[in-house]
Amino acid sequence: MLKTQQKLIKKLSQMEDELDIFDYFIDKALAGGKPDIRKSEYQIRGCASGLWVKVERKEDKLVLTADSDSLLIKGIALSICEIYNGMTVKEAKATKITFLDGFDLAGELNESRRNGLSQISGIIMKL
Amino acid sequence: MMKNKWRNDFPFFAGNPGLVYFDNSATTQKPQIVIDTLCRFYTDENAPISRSAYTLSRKAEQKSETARQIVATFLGAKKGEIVFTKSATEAANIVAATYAARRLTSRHNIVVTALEHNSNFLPWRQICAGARAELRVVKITQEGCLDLEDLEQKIDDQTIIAAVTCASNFLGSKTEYERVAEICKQHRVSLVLDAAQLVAHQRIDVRHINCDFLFLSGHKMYAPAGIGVLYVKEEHLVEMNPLLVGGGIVSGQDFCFVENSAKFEAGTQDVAARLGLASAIQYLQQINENEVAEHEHNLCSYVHSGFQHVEKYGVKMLGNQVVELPIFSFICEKAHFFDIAALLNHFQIAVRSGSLCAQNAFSQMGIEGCVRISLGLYNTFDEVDIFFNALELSLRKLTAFS
Repeated sequence: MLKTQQKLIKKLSQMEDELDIFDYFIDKALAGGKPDIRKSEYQIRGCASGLWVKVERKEDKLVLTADSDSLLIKGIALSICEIYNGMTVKEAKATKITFLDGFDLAGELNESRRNGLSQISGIIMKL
Repeated sequence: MMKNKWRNDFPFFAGNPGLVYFDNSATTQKPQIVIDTLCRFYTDENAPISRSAYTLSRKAEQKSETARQIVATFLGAKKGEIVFTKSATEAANIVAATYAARRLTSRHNIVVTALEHNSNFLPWRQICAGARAELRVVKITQEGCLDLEDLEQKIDDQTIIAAVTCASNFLGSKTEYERVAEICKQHRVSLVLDAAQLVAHQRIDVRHINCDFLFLSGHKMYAPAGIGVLYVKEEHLVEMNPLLVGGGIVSGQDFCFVENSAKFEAGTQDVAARLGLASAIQYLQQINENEVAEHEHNLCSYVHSGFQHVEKYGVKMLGNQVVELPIFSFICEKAHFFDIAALLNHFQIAVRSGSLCAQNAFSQMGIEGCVRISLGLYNTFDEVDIFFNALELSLRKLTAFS
């Protein structure tokens, strides 16, 4: 499953124009549809863009899905979900989300959004 | 890029070519004269004030008091009525904690408006909660104006204080604060004015308005961060005790507070920032204020017309269609404010997005957040063109699938 994040990092690093990175996450958000998870139990507190993440376990494997009012945040959140999807809890807890680190896109994420997205990993840690 | 006559006074733009800085309501850039003042103080003049008897210290104190006089003249106040604070936020908290709180009981109320920034809302909310007093929030109209009828209804014999902003930090509109002052005077209600968004663009005279308190923030008017001003009408000074206690505010072994405004300035003060604020005021007074006003007025008109071209993407400007200060906020039915701001950042356009510390207004307007552009005297028409080109590209991308 480490490969999912490595593949993502490779894909993003090959994009010459930052706008292509935006397009990638926007397309992912649009492809993510409208999951029925906008309930308070799934809401990530402290994210000003509205972020919902549902974490389930199916046959010992994690299944995550996400939704947000912001296409960019939704796309990034869904990418995080993809990294965790199919992992066991142990594997997920050992996985650090790093794909945003090398990109200037992180500059678009102010503290509250980064805190919101990092809470997805926080949910994993509490499993 | 076409430069206006004041832009070269601000070295930030030479250091950041290509950046369109449209976040002046958050903080402004500084003219070289202000930067030089700070450098000169720390290079040649740095010494504590109000503590030591040597020449350099006395000179620093004299400069600090000269700065206080400059601020007083700027506001139409007496020198002794000017308190230096760290910020507008601190100023509001001083009035709330040391003037209002001592009068407040559960049978009283405080009136604020839905337009208030959290710095002029939360201090009142906090002391009302402590005293179990009522906090009354005056509504805003559909156009984003203060509902004066609602204000008159909410002020009564039990109102201790009314805290009102002179200008909205996101709508570009001025409140009718002179009319508010008249209403407060009729009801003998003390008035606190938040001038943080106003003073970079327009002057205000506290004597003419006859407010009891007024506060502003240095960094929003081309001065350094870390310095604010609280105007306290002289008659209130004696009865108010300081919020923060420490060095420099007591005399004698019985720890009596000093009687002037310095009693609110405990601890080591940021003298450099005071001098920087005075320099910023002098800069504003040296440049032709009428020309600046005309420039900002023309920018407002230009921006306003630009928004008409993006309406097709579902963009809607918030508030009154007549914008008095160069502050504009908008939402888009088809795109989230964060996404818009993020894409604008890609195009090197600095804007603010979110609820802008004005949750009351946003709650009343039924929206979660917006994108705000706020211009300063150094912004240009070319920058407005760049902004709208980038906005259109961003909106085209974000609304392509909606």
